Amino acid sequence: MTQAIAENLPSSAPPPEQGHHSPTTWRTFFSFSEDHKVIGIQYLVTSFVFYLIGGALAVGVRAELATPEVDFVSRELYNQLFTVHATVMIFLWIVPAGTGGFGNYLLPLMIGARDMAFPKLNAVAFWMIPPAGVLLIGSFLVEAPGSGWTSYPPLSLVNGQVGEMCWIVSVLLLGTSSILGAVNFSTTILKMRRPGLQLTQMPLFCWAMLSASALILISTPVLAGALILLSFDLMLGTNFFNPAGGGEPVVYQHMFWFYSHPAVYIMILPVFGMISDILPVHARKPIFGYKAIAYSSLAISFLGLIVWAHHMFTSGTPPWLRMFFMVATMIIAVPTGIKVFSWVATIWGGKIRLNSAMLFSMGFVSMFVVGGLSGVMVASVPFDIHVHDTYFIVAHLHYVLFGGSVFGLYAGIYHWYPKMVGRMLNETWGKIHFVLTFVGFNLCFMPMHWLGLQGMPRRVAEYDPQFATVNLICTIGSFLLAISTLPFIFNAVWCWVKGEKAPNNPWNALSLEWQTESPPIPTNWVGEPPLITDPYAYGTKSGRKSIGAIRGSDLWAAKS
Amino acid sequence: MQTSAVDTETTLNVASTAAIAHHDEHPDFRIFGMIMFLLAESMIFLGLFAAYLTFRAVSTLPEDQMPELELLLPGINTLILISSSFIIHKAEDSIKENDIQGVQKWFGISAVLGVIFWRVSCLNTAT
Amino acid sequence: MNIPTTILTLIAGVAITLLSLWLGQNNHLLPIAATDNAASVDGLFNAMLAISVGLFCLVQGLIVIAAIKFRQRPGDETDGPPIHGNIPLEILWTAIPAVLVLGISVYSFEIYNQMGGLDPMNHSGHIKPAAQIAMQPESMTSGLLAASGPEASGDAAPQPNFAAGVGAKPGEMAPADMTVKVMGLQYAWLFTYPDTGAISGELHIPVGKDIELDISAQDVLHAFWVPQFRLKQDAIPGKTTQLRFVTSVPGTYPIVCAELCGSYHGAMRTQVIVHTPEDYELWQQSQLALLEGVGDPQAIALASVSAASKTDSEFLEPFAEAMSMDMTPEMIHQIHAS
Repeated sequence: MTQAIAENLPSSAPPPEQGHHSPTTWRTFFSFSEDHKVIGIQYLVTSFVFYLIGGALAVGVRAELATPEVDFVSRELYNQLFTVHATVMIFLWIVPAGTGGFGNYLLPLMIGARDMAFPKLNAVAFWMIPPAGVLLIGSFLVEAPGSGWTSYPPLSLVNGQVGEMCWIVSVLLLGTSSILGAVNFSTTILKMRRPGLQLTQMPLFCWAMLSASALILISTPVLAGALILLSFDLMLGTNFFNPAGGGEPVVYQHMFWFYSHPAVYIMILPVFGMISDILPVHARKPIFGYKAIAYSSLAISFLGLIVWAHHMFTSGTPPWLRMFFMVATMIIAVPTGIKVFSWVATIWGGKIRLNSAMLFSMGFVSMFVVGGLSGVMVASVPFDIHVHDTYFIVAHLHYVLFGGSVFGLYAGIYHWYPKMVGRMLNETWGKIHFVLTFVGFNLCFMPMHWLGLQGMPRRVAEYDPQFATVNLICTIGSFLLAISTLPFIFNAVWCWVKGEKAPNNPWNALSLEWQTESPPIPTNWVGEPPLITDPYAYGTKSGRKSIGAIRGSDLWAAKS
Repeated sequence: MQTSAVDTETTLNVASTAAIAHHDEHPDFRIFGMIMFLLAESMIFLGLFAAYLTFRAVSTLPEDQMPELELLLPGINTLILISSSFIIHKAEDSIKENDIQGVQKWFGISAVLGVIFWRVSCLNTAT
Repeated sequence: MNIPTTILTLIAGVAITLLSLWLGQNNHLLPIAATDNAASVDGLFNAMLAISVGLFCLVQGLIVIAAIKFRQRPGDETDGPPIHGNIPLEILWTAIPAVLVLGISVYSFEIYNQMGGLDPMNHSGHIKPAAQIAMQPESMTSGLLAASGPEASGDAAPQPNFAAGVGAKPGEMAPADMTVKVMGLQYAWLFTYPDTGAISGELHIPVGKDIELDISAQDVLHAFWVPQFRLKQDAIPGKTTQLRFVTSVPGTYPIVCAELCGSYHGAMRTQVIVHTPEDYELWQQSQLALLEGVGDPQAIALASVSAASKTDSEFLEPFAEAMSMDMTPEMIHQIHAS
């Protein structure tokens, strides 16, 4: 048995380094640690801090919009607020938290690996994020970018070089970090699975991460290309995108959205995976339609690459192109619908534990459905011509990215916190957090649908006074959302120190990450990780048995 | 966290060495990862090529004023760039085989190519 | 008390269907439709809304019922039934959305075609840049708007670039009844009427006529949007995009810039006045009178907003007050100078 494994080892495997075996203290989290669990928590905490900053910027935006006049901040500052808000939320919160945070923490644990494929690269990828974030936020001290997170030329070429360059460099850094992460994730999933574990036996989160990594690898470099050309225009006086010099601004839009539409799926796919793993545990039922969910992730990943121009239906794109992108976009509703119906079927008939993780998961499905349905609407060209660049889009994208991704990230935190920290979160505070978030979110974003339909464009610091009342409601909702983070922060920090000790498997879950200590030891398992061929075998006897009875060593021996 | 002097290379009965081996015990996937990274990076160029073709397609310049893509000089330089990695690879092989002459030969070729590359670049920017 | 589940399901299904259909017709979510095609777009929206409401109620209802009916009872530590899937059911919920989106796609395609979105847009009236640049009002406008953009630079200019917008209805070969040139610039819209040579800061059009807008931008991207027309088109520097429509309801509607164009983006608003034919005749007469009296479109534009003698700060005041503002060429210069 030992021989069989030893054959696979490279002859020059480095000896284990002593430095990694000191106990994990708070200092570890500020070090260049190569432990995927430390890096995962580093990602999560860092991105959450950026989430708070991005949220503060959003509150600034909403405070300005509480009245139709420009009174809270100047127009220039207003544009900078929403530009940095969007960039922070996308590149510094959802992408790093979803892929970097949960991906790093959970993937090796779920597939029975001791770490990621490239631990050093992993640490490098993480440590690119803080400087990029500081650069972006710090630009407020000099001159922040103010051309929207899309940074369309020619506006981005005339809006101030310093801020624009800060934005470009920051996004390039974050994109590179994301590519390095994706190389790591895909190699880990494809190559590092515990011997005997088939792809179709992995928890669905792994499938989602595989699909998201493929998207990152294919699309992010194209954004890098666009930003390099944009910076040439900005700094070197070339005219790729500047019509004053014969350039073509629409080419930038194509290159930008070739990344930025898949980016939506990069933000939502890991969350899909997390929800697929959380629902069965707390509903005590197997996931409904494992293969359909797994393959629909791949389908979304593929379709996500051929729909980008639906952001450009009013940009003067040729009619046939609009029709193609409309149909392609609509088709995405099919794999997404499969997932949603499968989730509903999963909880139907279960023994649902209505804890915070479950509430956020169910909230996720509900809110994501709203975003998905309005997504089908805006895919329709004639209707999109009316609502493009209006508050209808703002509402739609927040239902997908907040009601979707952020609710899912919260669900993931409530679900895996005991594993990560070794202590339970307080359920009462968790439920208060859920109610505040749910009410605040809908209060803030539901009325925006109406605003957009009625004629309020997005990214405006002042608006028609007839929209004043509804905007005030949105602003109140956003304040409630800001307040809703307080019980969560309090809960997470307090329980980290004083929370009730968590057992190794508090949810009685079947997937591999729960079959070790909480928090896991640096090598993840004592001995070989168990082989779990059905992580969703709730309610079956064999499923129950497989964990206790079959030890990893059995299978390793069998393989040799 | 205990430490142990057991050699993880020869025995992987993980139960006994569990606390030491951290992440060093898997095969080397660096080539796999590098290929994946290169595939990703090739997307930059795919994007830039697509942009170039679009710029040409939508250009408002009349046919006869359309600048032609320079092929000869940049082509030579591209060839030099690509071949240089093979040459350095050959040189490395020679080092591993203790073949001093081979190292000198391949480094020499590399230097000559470098000079040609530099000259061609100068010509190219001058025109 | 003990009603069979099938009956309850049936009742719920009927209730959801009725609710969706009613909401689809009576939502009042959109402003009034002032063109013929706007009503068609509303029909599309209503259909999509009805389907969405139905699907949302279905999913949300199932989740809420599950949360109540299948919640863990105290002391029950058992698992649910081990159901791993159900192929016919999965095929059903793959097929239904597929059919729905296909239907919506075909419906959208139809509406889009009816709006003129599939018009290849290069119909005869269009490719005549040289002739138009030579025309009087056109060249004066160009001179007025500081040299920038291909149309402004005289005969050395490259051929203007056309991009698609919303064009003529299918089968409509005739050029539009009336063409207006729309120029977006930071932060105003400027309308030029080639028929009379008039320039204005608000768009005046007669009701019931086939109107074509040739939209361009001077500096950065803008987007011309009239919510009541359900029409929006980006204004792109160096290109001309087109919107073609027939209005049906006289009135005054806002014109909104929908593409971020700088700090005063939110203030870049004006209005379109859809006149009855008689009113439009009057307005056109007044413009012609001004044109004859002064003979200089720039002065007309100034006169039309009677702001010729204001100082810089007075000119910028409308920006600060933000809401509706008219445009004069001098304001343009000031904004560009500042």
